[in-house]
Amino acid sequence: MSLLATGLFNLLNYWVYVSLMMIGLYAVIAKTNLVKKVIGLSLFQTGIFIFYISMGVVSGATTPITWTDAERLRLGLSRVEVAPERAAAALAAVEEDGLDAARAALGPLAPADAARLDELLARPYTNPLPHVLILTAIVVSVSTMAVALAIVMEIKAAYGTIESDEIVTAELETARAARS
Amino acid sequence: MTLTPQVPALVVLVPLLAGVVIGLVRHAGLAWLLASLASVTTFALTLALAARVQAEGVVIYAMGGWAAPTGIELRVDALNALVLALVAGMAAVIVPTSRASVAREVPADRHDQFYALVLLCVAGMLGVTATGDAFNLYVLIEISSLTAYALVALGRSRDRRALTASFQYLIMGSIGASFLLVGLGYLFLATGTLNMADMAVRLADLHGSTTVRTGVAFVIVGLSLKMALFPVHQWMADAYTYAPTSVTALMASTATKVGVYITIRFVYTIFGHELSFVIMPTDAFLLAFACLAIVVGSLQAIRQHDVRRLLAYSSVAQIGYLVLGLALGSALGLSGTLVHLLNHALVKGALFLAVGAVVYRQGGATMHELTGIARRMPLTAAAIAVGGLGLIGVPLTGGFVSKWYLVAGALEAGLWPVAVVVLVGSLLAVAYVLRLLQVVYFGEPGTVAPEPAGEAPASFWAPALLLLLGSVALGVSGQLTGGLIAAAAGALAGGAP
Repeated sequence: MSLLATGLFNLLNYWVYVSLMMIGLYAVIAKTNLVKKVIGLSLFQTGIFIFYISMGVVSGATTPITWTDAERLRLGLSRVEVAPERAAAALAAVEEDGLDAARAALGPLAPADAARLDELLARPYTNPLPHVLILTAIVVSVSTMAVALAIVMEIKAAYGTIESDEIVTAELETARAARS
Repeated sequence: MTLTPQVPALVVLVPLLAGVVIGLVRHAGLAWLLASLASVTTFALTLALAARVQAEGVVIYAMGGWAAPTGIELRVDALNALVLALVAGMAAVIVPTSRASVAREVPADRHDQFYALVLLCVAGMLGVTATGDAFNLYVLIEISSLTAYALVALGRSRDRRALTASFQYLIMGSIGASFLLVGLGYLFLATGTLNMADMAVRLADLHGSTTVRTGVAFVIVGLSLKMALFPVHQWMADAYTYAPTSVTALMASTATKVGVYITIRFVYTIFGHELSFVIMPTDAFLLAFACLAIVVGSLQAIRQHDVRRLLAYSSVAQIGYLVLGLALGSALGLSGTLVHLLNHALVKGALFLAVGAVVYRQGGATMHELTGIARRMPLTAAAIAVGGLGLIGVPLTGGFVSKWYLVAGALEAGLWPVAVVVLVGSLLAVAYVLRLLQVVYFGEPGTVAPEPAGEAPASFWAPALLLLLGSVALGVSGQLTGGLIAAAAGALAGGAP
């Protein structure tokens, strides 16, 4: 795989976040319809949600809830190739003496499997904080949408249109009428 | 149980809860009364807090008893004690005296909502100023901004353009806040913390990181939008022109000042001198746009026919001065910014209150309606005159002191073109203020404009003159803030060589 493709794949979430933000920003700037501008703003903010959600991910880790050592080991074993009796021995050992003893009881594994298991056992859980933060930001974004759409409704009532170029024309005509 | 240790939290909670309660009462008079009580109480609390900061140093309050960096803390030092007192003080002057103006400009069935929004907006600004947590700051900025959008839109019963101004403000404000959010995301990614003090410590080891530099860039651009720094200032000119006048008076004297405060906080406390000025060219970026803001804002102000718009463009220029001082990166420049922050808040608040009096009597605030008002409205005219002199920065006003600091700071840094820009800006201010005063004092009513109906109620000119008295006191003694400005500037620039 070329370097470019690797970068694209590993950082896919971040490419998606930047693309969504830029599409949203383009809509905010280029669209004349006010509702479309609001949709653009929403896209722009949704991009940021993906950014925050992606940064919390820890590869190979579990969900951020309380796991006992046995549960964590069982999850790890389900992700690797291992003989059933060795898995049973490891599970017995974890009840008695903890994770290190269980890892010893498991014996040697294929290198890829060992790495995956050790990663899971060493890194407890993904970081929940960005997800909590973004829940708050989603609430803020929803409120912004509500206010924005309320203002657009009032603009429609006052001007009879929600096209910004028609609103500008209407204002120019009002100003010309006031002068003459 | 005593309430004294809870004062930092109460400063935010009193207006927040009052805002919610006022939203529930369906009575205009009661809403006004509650809002006045709450804003005066909040001001008293901020003064008590400022006194405590002066006596004890930094006041730290752990929200809900959760210690930082896990919990959210409020952290008040000399700098934000000053800004808290400023915001609460402006609210305490403007809210109780706003009744006549609001009655004229906002439909009667919306008064309770109006005061609820004002208090929520003030609570948001106070929270932004008091908090020591970066994400908390974002949420509170959005609380103050969302209420501000609605308040601007309330100006629609006088002029429907308030709606488009509000929409524009919403789009620009939301994009600014989103940039700030992205920037905070990158800083969190690099440091793993959201507590400002903790983040500052961890950033010191991460100066080479591209992630950190990206974060700094996003934060600075986002804050520029929130401060209405040139060239992203257009929303402010429209919002100030079409919002109800008391909203404009409050926002012009507080909202952008809080934006400048956050910028100082990020640039000096969180990023630190080296990251802001050595690794990132924050100073060059801000200086360039600040100088453009001063010149372009003043030139635009000269061309305006509507006085509210004139004052709004003057605000664009004044924000240039504020940013210029903080971008100099020295104690002198920061002192200039802080004195100017106080002075401009007092002067602009007073000017918009005086303009509110003209709107109340004449139904509008174009040059046409201001013609010759000095004859019938001498006190309002006096407020406009003294306020205008304060904008120019003539001696004996606070504006003179701050511009003195700014010029001295620019010369100290060897940036004489910047000092020239400050002086040119002042000359341009002379042009637009004199044009205004000529119309107010020497214009002939009757031939071009309706005869003014007489002096406006005292609730307009009394607070305006009170604020101007504060500005003059700032210019004459310099001791008005009891050393808080010197303490804040010294502490912030401590890292500077």
